[in-house]
Amino acid sequence: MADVTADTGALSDRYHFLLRRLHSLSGIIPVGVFICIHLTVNASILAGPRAFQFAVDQIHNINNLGILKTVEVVFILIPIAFHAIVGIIIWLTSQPNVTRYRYGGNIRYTLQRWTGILAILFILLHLRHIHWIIPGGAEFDPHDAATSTVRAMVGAWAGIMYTIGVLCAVFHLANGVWTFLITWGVTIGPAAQRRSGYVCAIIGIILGLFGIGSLITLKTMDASAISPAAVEQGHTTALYHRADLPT
Amino acid sequence: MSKEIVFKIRRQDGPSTSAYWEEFRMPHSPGHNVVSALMYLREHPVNSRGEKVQPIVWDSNCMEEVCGACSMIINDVPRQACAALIDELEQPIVLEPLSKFPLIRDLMVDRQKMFDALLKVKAWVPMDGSWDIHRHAPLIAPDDQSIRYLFSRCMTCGCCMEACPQFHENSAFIGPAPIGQVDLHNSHPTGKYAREGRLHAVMGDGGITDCGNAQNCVQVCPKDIPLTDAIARIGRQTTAQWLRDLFVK
Repeated sequence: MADVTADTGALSDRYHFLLRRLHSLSGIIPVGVFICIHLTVNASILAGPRAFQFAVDQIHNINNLGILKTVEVVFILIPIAFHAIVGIIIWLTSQPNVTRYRYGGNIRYTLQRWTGILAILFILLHLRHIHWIIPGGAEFDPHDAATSTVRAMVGAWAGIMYTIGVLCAVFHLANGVWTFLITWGVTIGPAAQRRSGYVCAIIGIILGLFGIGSLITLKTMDASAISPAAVEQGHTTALYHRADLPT
Repeated sequence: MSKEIVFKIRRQDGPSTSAYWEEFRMPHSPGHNVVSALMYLREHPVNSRGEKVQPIVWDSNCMEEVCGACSMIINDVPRQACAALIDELEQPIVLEPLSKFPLIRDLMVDRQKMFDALLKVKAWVPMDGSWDIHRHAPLIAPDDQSIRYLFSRCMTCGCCMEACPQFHENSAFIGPAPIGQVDLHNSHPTGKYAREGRLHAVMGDGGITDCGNAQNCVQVCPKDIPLTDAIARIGRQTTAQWLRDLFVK
């Protein structure tokens, strides 16, 4: 029997609390915030190629300072990787028992773990598919956002992968906000947790509609029918002119 | 109501032997609970095939759901056998030992892990010192009393640990019940003095951060202890403690 009263000096023990709390925090800031922005920008395609181009330009204008890739790596990719690695460790130490205990909370606990794992796989496929960090995939052209995205989304595989991936990520985020509020001691009693549950469900439904709505729009849009004039208009309504963008 | 009581019991002759199921039938009489029925079977250790077998081993003590000894899984629910009335159970009544604690024999397990955890989190009010801690017992507001009373009913039965998907032999998690006791003792006017030590004890590996918020604990607790309230409160207290450690010390 280990001496339970001794203070252990093990590194993992000393940094355990910090690591787990950073995992919880990183899921909201910056990863959760990023997902909200990402899905909102995506959803602008619902208003047409012009609006989508305008939204994309708002993001890519950061590159006027030449820091877009640095921002992506430091504030998006590294936090996601950290959240994923600690998440895998957490997943490995769970023993879901939902077949015996079919309570709502337990089902969400089990889903939280599996949607996390699926979201990691999805993000890797998504980066392979369209992101510069893994070269060789489809080209996303920030100067002609709608056309290049519609072209990239052709095929049943893309539709299935993005539907499952986006829904997993959205559930994981919405439920993650709910557990975040418990973890940090914001919502304590069952009534407070029920109320925060409603709010998180609404957040999840809105983000899910954004994601699926933009997917349907992209899948049903004809790339050759996107008028260059609309894209050009999107650029000119952006805060900066397209000439400011690097080619 | 059936004339017979039928049990399906998961048995195991020792910690390292393999488990097997055995069926038992006994005459029905009103007012039986699972422990009193097991007592009958101990006197008549004959299985449903008519074979004389070793009497079933289990643990029990108080017979009024306050000691926590007779925890077992009854029809898929971890609970106290003494408070499980036969007439309220679906038959055949399936009995299994708790699966998260080392098995001794049949339905008897070793719940030592829980007591070790109580020691680790310093779940007591320190009274010995070189000075008088309190000349008079401190006053506690009635509202606080009623909340704390719920936590004082914890009998370390292990049902919450059994249902917790984060508590198992490959995890360091101390489980919900000891966190409930940290909350109880931290809220006590005198127990507060040792608050920091308890919080540090649950801030390491296997502590509060290893809770996964499945909230099965609060669903199965036979004493209706608001364990998830305690977990969230200790989450809040450890957050504050971590900041104090970082900026004040």
